Amino acid sequence: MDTPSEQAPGASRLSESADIERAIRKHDRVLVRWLAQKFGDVETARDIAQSAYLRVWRYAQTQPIDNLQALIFKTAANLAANEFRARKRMKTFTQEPAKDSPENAIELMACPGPSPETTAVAREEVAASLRAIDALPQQARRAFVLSRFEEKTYREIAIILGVSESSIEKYIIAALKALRLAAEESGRPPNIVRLPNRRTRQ
Amino acid sequence: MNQRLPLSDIGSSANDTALYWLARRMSGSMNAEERREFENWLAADPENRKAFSNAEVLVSRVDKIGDELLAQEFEKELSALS
Repeated sequence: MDTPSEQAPGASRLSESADIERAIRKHDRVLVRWLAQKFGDVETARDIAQSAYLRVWRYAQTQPIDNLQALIFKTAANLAANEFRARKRMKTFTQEPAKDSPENAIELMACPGPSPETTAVAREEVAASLRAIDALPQQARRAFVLSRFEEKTYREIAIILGVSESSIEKYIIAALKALRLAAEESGRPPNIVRLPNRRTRQ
Repeated sequence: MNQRLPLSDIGSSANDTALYWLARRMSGSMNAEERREFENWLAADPENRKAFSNAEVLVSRVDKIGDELLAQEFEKELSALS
């Protein structure tokens, strides 16, 4: 049986290169089409796909790869998410903050500077939030991600998921409730706990 | 056309109502009348304002892991394609 260790040195690497090329060629169309849909232009799609292939290629020089397709998609997904979020951040900074927001949540989080303990608590809360979103039923999770991170309206999400707009609202509320529950269970709900009035304790 | 859920479906506490309004604000289809309704609710009681900023904090925590969540979701979408 031909195992890589029985081949001449370099031969296995050579066949891996051919495997990578084949895998890239096989999935390129699906990947670029999907990326073009996400970003709304083919040029960005090709750029991201090329960067992903380059990274996969480099990675393959140092590591044996079990599942090339999975690695290509994972790499492309990471790059696409970073690009997506970077574009969103740029847009946010050039826009005016919402006038009807009672208190800016980001300001609320940023001030005052956190102590090491509160940083650890915050990290646990963020991890709990991630678990809560992960544990949602698929449609609710997709609806939340599309709304929050892809900035789609409920109407747009309803079309993508093939359900009614009011279903989307239900999914979002379910996601928000799951986040609230996770916050409560991670030990520090965002609700201020009412301490007894000091005067009554004196 | 504006497909809203009845508020009574969500719950009646200030915290539940805050989640409802946050979900409405995320909808992208709030009209002027609804916005006024929201403002009135917010101004009606300091508890409401508190509840609403708490709800915003919940979501801002998720924003910190947005890259990670989005990458996971993209990966799932891609694997479903092939």
